[in-house]
Amino acid sequence: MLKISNLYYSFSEKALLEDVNIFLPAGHTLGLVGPNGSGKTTLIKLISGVLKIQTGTISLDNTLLNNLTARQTAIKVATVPQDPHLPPYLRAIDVVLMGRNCHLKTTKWETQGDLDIVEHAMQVTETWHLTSKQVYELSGGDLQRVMIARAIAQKTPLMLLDEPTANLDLKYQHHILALIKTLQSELGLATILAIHDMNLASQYCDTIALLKNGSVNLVGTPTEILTNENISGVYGVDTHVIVHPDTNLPMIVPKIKQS
Amino acid sequence: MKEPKNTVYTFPWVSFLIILGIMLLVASLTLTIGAASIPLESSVKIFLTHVFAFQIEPQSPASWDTIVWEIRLPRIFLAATVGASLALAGSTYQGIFQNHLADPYLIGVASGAGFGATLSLLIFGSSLTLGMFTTVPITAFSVAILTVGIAYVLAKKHGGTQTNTLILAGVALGSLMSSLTTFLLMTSGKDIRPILSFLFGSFATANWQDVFVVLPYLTVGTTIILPLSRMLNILQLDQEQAIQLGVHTEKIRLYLLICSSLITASAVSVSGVIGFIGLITPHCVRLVWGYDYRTLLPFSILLGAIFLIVSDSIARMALAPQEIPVGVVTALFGSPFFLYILRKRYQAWY
Repeated sequence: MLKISNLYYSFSEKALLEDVNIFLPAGHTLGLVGPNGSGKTTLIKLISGVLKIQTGTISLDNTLLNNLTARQTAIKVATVPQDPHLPPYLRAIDVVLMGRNCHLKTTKWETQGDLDIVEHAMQVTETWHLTSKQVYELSGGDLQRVMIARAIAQKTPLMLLDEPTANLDLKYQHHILALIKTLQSELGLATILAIHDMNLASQYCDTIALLKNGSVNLVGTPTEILTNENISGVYGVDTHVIVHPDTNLPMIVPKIKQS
Repeated sequence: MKEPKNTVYTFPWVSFLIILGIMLLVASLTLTIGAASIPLESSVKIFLTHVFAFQIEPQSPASWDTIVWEIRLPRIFLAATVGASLALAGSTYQGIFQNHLADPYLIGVASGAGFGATLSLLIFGSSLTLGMFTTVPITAFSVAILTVGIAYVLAKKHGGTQTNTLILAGVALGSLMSSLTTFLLMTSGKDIRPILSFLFGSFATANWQDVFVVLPYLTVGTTIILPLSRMLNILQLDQEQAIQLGVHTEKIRLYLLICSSLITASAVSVSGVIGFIGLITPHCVRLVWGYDYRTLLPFSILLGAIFLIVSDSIARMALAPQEIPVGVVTALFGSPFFLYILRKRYQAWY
């Protein structure tokens, strides 16, 4: 379970995060929703150890993440970055094998045991048939699943995904999010998604945190958070809230003035 | 020669031993060629006699002994160690900077060494010695390391070092050093041929002392860099991912940078500035054995040695008795080959 308390972060005297408090139980999905520059990516970088925590605490299963080394953090937190740079010549399996790094000594190489874990991760993400494909041959959807396989191979209790559905078509958007949902119930993962699309967040997240200007405005279930009042307060856009016929979860569509 | 599907990485020992054999073969053959033609058998015997300090067969003339032991062998050893050093440092630099066009001179080692050597030759001449060594390698080495050090300090910001900033700082400092060197050359009015010979690289004055300048750095550097080769693979991703996968990028980069810069500086300090070996050797390895740094580094060491032994033989034989600077030979063969790779190999990706 993840607990973030009184988290502040500033860069060049500009506050990027202010007093963020989040609690996330194991097996739950938290969606971070908010406009550009609201602090979603900063929060993800702080949890994954890319940025050093300045004030406040982040703890996972009672371990404080503040002062861990990159390796210690990587054992606890796996991240699927938004727009990863990967050398074009790497094969998919090489990418996923890199997920095992935090469990290996710096000077040691991967073993058969690591390969078994990688095989499982690629099976569940349906990428096992892509193993010898090189990065430049993979489609956006395939690459995203390979990246998720890498995060699974890292075997962490928490997985962060930064805009996992950006640049994906309708089919893959739902495919990826359904996959994450399955994984988290099967593996008992806690997951945090930074996601622009509120309607996807509504369908696939247990909890939604609405961010604005670096602070968490509201936290709650999709039904509690996705109301016209909240959305217009954060985005300045008037919306209709309609209900998804299959799930009864809220969907947001902007109001359009007829001229 | 791609790895078989879906297996963990295994080192290609067979290929490695074959290349090692080729290296020894090339070294032995170049030992026999030259103004005096000395049979391989006698050369090997002379070598063993000196190494194990007993007479095997005192038949060959004394002049052969001098030629093999004091001229050709140190020269071949030096070419091999310098070639290995430059190729290892080159592939490491390409890894640190995530840039396949990087070479070991990228951030100012060569121009620093060139300036140091020029300064030393103009002030002290080529004969002043400090302890065992002449002043040239000492000043060349010091100024080379100083240049990289300054570049690193200048590029440090917010407790981290951006590789792009480091390249820019290194290139700028390198230009400064080169222009200072040119200025000294133009205004000194002294005999500048030894300086030019340094700036183009040459093994004409190779001796065992030179070998023992380079060898310790190469040995220690190799034992530190090779175990980090899997880290170099991960450093090819962006910095953020490398951290998220558990790599202390700043620390690993610094270790690698220090080791490869020291290796390069020691090589340059005794042999002068020999271009293209450090740039091209890693590409040759990639063409045949792929991109994994666990293969790339050890194979670069061997191929770099082979390339420079061969280039040096051409340098001393092609226009014999006159010598061509070995840097001219490597550039002559290196640049067309490099252009070929640039056109053929990377079109699809870059």
